[in-house]
This record gives sequence, structure tokens and C-alpha cells, in this order.
Amino acid sequence: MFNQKKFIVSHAPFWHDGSSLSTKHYHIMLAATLAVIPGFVQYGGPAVAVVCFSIATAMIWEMIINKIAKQPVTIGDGNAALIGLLLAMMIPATTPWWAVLTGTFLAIVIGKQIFGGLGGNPFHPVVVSMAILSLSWKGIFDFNEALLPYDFNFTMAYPLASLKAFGPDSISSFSITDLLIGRQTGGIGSTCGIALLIGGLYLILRGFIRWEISFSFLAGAFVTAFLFTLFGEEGKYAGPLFHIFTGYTLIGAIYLATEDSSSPVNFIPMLLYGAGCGIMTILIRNIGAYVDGVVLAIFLMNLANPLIDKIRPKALGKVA
Amino acid sequence: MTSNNELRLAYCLTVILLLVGGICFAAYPVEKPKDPVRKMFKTSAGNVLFTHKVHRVETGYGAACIDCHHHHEEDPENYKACGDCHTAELPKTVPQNCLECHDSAGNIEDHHPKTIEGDEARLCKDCHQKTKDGSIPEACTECHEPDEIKGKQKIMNFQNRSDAFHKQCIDCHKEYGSGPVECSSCHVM
Ligand code: HEC
Ligand code: HEC
Ligand code: HEC
Ligand code: HEC
Ligand code: HEC
Ligand code: HEC
Ligand code: HEC
Repeated sequence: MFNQKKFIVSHAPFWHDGSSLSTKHYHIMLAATLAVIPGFVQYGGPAVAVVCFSIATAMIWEMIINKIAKQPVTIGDGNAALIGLLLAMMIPATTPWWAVLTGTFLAIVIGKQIFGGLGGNPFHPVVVSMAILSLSWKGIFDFNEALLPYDFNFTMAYPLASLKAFGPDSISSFSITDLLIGRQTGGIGSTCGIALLIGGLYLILRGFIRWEISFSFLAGAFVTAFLFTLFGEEGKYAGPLFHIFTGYTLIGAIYLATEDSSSPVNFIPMLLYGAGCGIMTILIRNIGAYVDGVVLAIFLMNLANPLIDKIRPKALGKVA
Repeated sequence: MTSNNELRLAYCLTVILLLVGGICFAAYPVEKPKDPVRKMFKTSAGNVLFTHKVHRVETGYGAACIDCHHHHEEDPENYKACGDCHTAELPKTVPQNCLECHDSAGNIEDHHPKTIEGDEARLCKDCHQKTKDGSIPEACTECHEPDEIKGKQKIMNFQNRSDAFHKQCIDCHKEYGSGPVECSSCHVM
């Protein structure tokens, strides 16, 4: 037996597509930007402010932590910028600057750097940040309240809030096509379903994210919501497509659940993990206390991820 | 791309975005329109989302301003909030903002000092109440012969804040036969 180390392996992520981390992150940002554009068009200046400020402060926090820890500056890999962008996509355009600053702090410092930086985080940094933010400042992150000053030519109530408070009767004014093309209120970059889907498709085709997770997430949500309408009390639950195209379902399935270090890498575990996110999302929305379940669902599945990833093919040959 | 170039790009991106973000925050503050689009009433019984604009525009429910802003206000730009007049508690003095319009002309001064002090203090509704048969309220008879002032009493269905809201909102919904009348269809409980 040799007692010396021959091959030192770092933490996950190990997925390799032939290009560097920065290429991957900038591609994801590019794809995500497609969904941000409708937000810019609708909300204008304030939305631009939130998005730019969020990306910039995420990078600044990362830089500060790098300096404090006397590590090389890692913002070159684009991950901090991506986290900033994703966070901005989920919050209302009216979010004040200090709340954005707090949000990126929570994501970068609490969600990522505390665990040793990229690859070490057990949870998606943005999910951690959103969970804390929305518990701490309900009013700022409640879309009905935050978006009071805006008036577009569609129903301005937040669909999931109406569903939770007043039941499926109250959501008859939302057609699925309206929801799909972003005629609904919500985060800056999480309402335009078609833009999210195109971005996701691009990333899957290029191999930047794993289709297994996104697909099983949406399938899990769809099937669960469908079962509720089938076997649940008549007229008490909304249909599956409504759930897919509202709230954070799509942004969660495409951009949040697929983050490398907080999701599994083996085939069956990926399917289980994705489906778990989707099922939990609908369970929380339909019978839980929260208006949207995506953030909590992903958080819980992140927690279960190490366990799920144990289900893996037996290695060939003998393992010492 | 070498990692040095990557870093340089990232630094540039940070500076540019910080500038753009900062400038946009300064240049486009989120302004609440004077004439509200929607209002969120936060109550102990849960929030109520009120679609102000939808209620008043023709393509919505087409209500006239005066249906709700009912008390002789003339400047639509500066309508008072309901709670400015319908205070949370029953007032014991004539609120200052009533006197903006109801100056002390007439006999207002002869009547109202009495409401202020002591055990004898009267509530507005003691005098401004609507009696069943249209007779004058008992409170008047302390100083007046009933015949002397017959028909001159001022009826004032003066309500505290949440009663005022409930009465106005729900009465109209009942009248139109549409719109929420049950607690849980207005309040997010
Ligand atoms: C269906 C009832 C309703 C109608 C019709 C209506 N309003 Fe209002 N309006 C309200 C309520 C309720 C408030 C909130 C008052 C409060 O906050 O106490 C309000 C508030 C306002 C305010 C802000 C007042 C403040 O300082 O809070 C303005 C200005 C206003 N309305 C203008 C108008 C104008 C102009 C019209 C007619 C074109 C109109 N409203 C029609 C119910 C109505
Ligand atoms: C400028 C002061 C003022 C404002 C502002 C005001 N009210 Fe009133 N309101 C009164 C007065 C005075 C009365 C009693 C006189 C009367 O009955 O007409 C009254 C009476 C009422 C009544 C009882 C009417 C009845 O016939 O039973 C309701 C309901 C009411 N207000 C609702 C509202 C609502 C809702 C708003 C806000 C949209 C509002 N008020 C704004 C002064 C005001
Ligand atoms: C914007 C000015 C304005 C304000 C503020 C105002 N009023 Fe009036 N009020 C009027 C006018 C105008 C009349 C009509 C007088 C008339 O018909 O002779 C009136 C009439 C009344 C009446 C007679 C009943 C009726 O509906 O005609 C009562 C009672 C009354 N006001 C009470 C109040 C009280 C109480 C307040 C304070 C909470 C108040 N008002 C504030 C302008 C105002
Ligand atoms: C002692 C009985 C009495 C009490 C108590 C009383 N009022 Fe009056 N109030 C009157 C009488 C009588 C008038 C009519 C005076 C007149 O016609 O000159 C009047 C007139 C008014 C007016 C003017 C209405 C108009 O048409 O110009 C306002 C405003 C008013 N009262 C508000 C109040 C408020 C608010 C309270 C409670 C704080 C109150 N009053 C309590 C007897 C009373
Ligand atoms: C605290 C005693 C007091 C009470 C209670 C009282 N008033 Fe008076 N009222 C007066 C006084 C004092 C005058 C002024 C008498 C005068 O000018 O000759 C007056 C004058 C009036 C006038 C004018 C009479 C006129 O000939 O012009 C009317 C109307 C009137 N009161 C109505 C009422 C009504 C209605 C009530 C009950 C809601 C009432 N008052 C309660 C003391 C009172
Ligand atoms: C002048 C009449 C009128 C008044 C006053 C009024 N409403 Fe309404 N409201 C309506 C009508 C008409 C509808 C239409 C319902 C429909 O078409 O189904 C409606 C619908 C609603 C709805 C459900 C649809 C939506 O737009 O959200 C809510 C919630 C509501 N009203 C809240 C309120 C509240 C809160 C108030 C009091 C501040 C109020 N309304 C006062 C006429 C009124
Ligand atoms: C048409 C819509 C509507 C309906 C229906 C309605 N409310 Fe309200 N309620 C309101 C509004 C608007 C307010 C806001 C008053 C305020 O801001 O002070 C309110 C205020 C309240 C408050 C006052 C809480 C506080 O903080 O002072 C209570 C309690 C309440 N409602 C209970 C009820 C109950 C119980 C029912 C059913 C019987 C009910 N409401 C039905 C619209 C409604």
C-alpha cells in the first residue's frame, strides 16, 4: 500500500462540459437575461436599478469576503454575478436598495462563502437569501403590496395570493396564455414563462444545466397538482398548468434546483430530487401555509440532497 | 479566456453595474401616485386589497368619486383619507379638520364646548343621532323646548374608521349584487 496522496479531488461540482466555469456562468446569465427583459419593459427604471445593483453588490460582497479570508478574488468565475442576477429576478421591482444589499449579503456570505465558496454550499445561495428576506420583511416581498403603484392592462393581483386567500374562483381572470407570456405580477424576472422556458431549453441543449432535474421538477409539480384536482375536493384546487406558470415554479425548476453543488449528480437521484422539489412545491401551495412553495421546497430538497445522492450505481470492480 | 482577463472583465462589470444601479435608484424612485391605483389596508383581521382605479374607471365598475369621497370635498387631487374624518375612536371634541370647512359660524360654538369636559361630556351621537320617529334627541331638551328646535337637528351617521369602510364597501356591493360581502372574500385571513 502506498501511503502518499496521488490525486487530490476538490468539492463538487464535477460536471464538465469542456468549457470553464466562467463560460458556464455567463451562459446561464445570458439565458436568464431573456426573462429579465420583460421585467425591464414593464417596470422600467426601478427594475433596472434592482437588477444592476443586485449583480454589482453580489460581486462586491464576494470580493470583500475573498479579501478578508486572504483568498484570491473569485468574482472572475461569474458565479457571484449569477447569484446577484437570480436574486434580482425573484424580487419585486420596488425593492429598496438596502433590501437588495441585504439580500446579496445573505446569498453570498451566508449562503455561499460561509460554506467555503463555490461548490461547498449545501443550499442554493439565492434560496437561502429569499427564505430569510421574505420572512424578515413581509411587506417588501409581498407582490400585492410591493406593486401597488403599478397599473398594467391585466389583473394586478398576485395570482398565487388570490388562489390561497380566495380560492380557484378568484383566478378565473388569468388565462394560461396570459400567464405564459408574462401578463401577471411577480418578481422582475420570474413571470414571463415563455422566456424562462426558452432560456432553459438553450441551457439544457448546451449542457449547462441537467434536463433530468428541470424536467422531473415540472413533471412532479404537474402530476401532483393534477392529482389534487382529480381526487381533491371539487373546486378547491387550481389546475396543474396554473401552478407551472405562476410564482417561482419555472425559475425554480430551471435556475435554482439545477445549481451544481446543492443538487445530485447521478441519474436516478437527479430525477428523485427534481420530482421531490415539484411535489413539495404543490403540497405547500395546496395545503401548506405559504403562498408559494418553491423556495421552501428547494431548500428542503437541498437538505435531503446528500442522502438522495447516495443512491448510485455500484462501482465496477472492487472498492476497498 | 485567461483568469486575469476574466477578473478584469468582472471588475469592469461590477463598476459599471454599480453605477447604473445607483443612478437608476436615484433617478427613478418608486412613486406612489396621488390618486391611488390600489390600496392595501392592513387590519388586525387581515389585509384588504382594494382596487381603487378599477372601482372608478368606466371600463371597471364605473363608480363616481362622490359615491365614496362623499363629504362635500371639492378638490379631487387632495381627497382626505377616510380616517381623517372617521377617526378610530368616537371623538369627544369636534375634530380640527371638520372646522376647516365648518367654521364657528351659526350656533356651533354654543353647542359644542359642552362636549368636551367632565362626566357630562356628550358624544357626537347623543345629539347628532337619528331618532326613530324623527323627534328631537333627548340631549337637546336640557336647554331647549322641543317645539323651538323641531326639525333643526343635524343627523350624523358618524362612524369610526372600520365601520365607515364596512358600511360603504359592503352596502354598495349588496346594492350592485356583486362584489365581496363576506369577511373572507375581502380580508386575507
Ligand atoms: C369605490 C369607492 C371609491 C371611489 C369611486 C373613488 N375612491 Fe378615491 N379612495 C377610496 C378609498 C377607500 C380611499 C382610501 C382612503 C384611505 O386611505 O383612508 C381613496 C383614496 C383616494 C385618494 C388618496 C387620499 C389619501 O390621501 O389617502 C385620492 C386622491 C382619491 N381617492 C381620488 C379619487 C378620485 C379622483 C376619484 C373619482 C375619479 C375616486 N377617488 C373615486 C375610495 C374610492
Ligand atoms: C371630510 C370628512 C369625511 C371624509 C373624508 C369621509 N367622511 Fe364619511 N362621513 C363624514 C361625515 C361628517 C359623516 C356623517 C354625515 C352623514 O351621515 O352624511 C359621514 C358618514 C359616513 C358614513 C355613514 C353614511 C350613512 O348614511 O350611514 C359612511 C359609511 C362613511 N361616512 C364612509 C366613508 C368612507 C368609506 C370614506 C373614505 C372613502 C369617508 N367616509 C370619508 C365625513 C367624512
Ligand atoms: C371639505 C370641507 C368639509 C369638511 C372637512 C367637513 N365638512 Fe361637513 N359639510 C361640508 C359641506 C360643504 C356641507 C354641506 C353644508 C350644507 O349642506 O349646508 C357639510 C355638511 C355637514 C353635515 C350636515 C349633514 C349633511 O350631510 O349635509 C354634518 C353633520 C357635517 N358636515 C359634519 C362634519 C364633520 C363631523 C366633519 C369632520 C369630521 C366635517 N363635516 C368635515 C364640508 C365639510
Ligand atoms: C349638545 C349637542 C351636540 C353635541 C354633543 C354635538 N353636536 Fe354637533 N351640532 C349640534 C347642533 C345643534 C348643530 C347645529 C348647529 C346649527 O345649526 O347652527 C351641530 C352642528 C354640527 C356641525 C356643523 C354641521 C353643519 O351642517 O354645518 C358639525 C361639523 C358638528 N356639529 C360636529 C359635531 C361633532 C364631531 C361632535 C362630537 C364631537 C358633535 N358635533 C357633538 C349639537 C351637538
Ligand atoms: C347646553 C345647552 C344646549 C343644548 C344641549 C342644545 N342647545 Fe341648541 N342652543 C343652545 C344655545 C345657548 C343656543 C343659542 C340661543 C340663542 O342664540 O338664542 C342654541 C341655539 C340653537 C338653535 C338656533 C335657534 C334659533 O332660533 O336660531 C338651534 C336650531 C338649536 N340650538 C338646536 C339644538 C338641537 C337640535 C339640539 C340637540 C341636538 C340642541 N340645540 C342642544 C344651547 C343648547
Ligand atoms: C360604488 C359602489 C362600490 C363601493 C363603494 C365599493 N365597491 Fe367594491 N365593487 C363594486 C363592484 C360593482 C364590484 C364588481 C364585482 C364584480 O364585477 O364581480 C366590486 C368588487 C370588489 C372587489 C372584488 C374585485 C376586485 O376588484 O378586487 C373587492 C375586493 C372590492 N370590491 C373591495 C371593496 C372595498 C374594500 C371597498 C371599500 C373601500 C369597496 N369595494 C367599495 C362596487 C363598489
Ligand atoms: C368589502 C370588503 C370587506 C368586507 C366584506 C369585510 N371587511 Fe373588514 N375591513 C375592510 C376594510 C377596507 C377595512 C380597513 C379599515 C381600516 O383600514 O381601518 C376593514 C377593517 C376591519 C377590521 C378592523 C381591524 C382594525 O385593525 O381595526 C376588522 C376587525 C374587520 N374588518 C373584520 C371584518 C369582519 C369580521 C368581516 C365580516 C363580517 C369583514 N371585516 C368584512 C373591508 C372589508
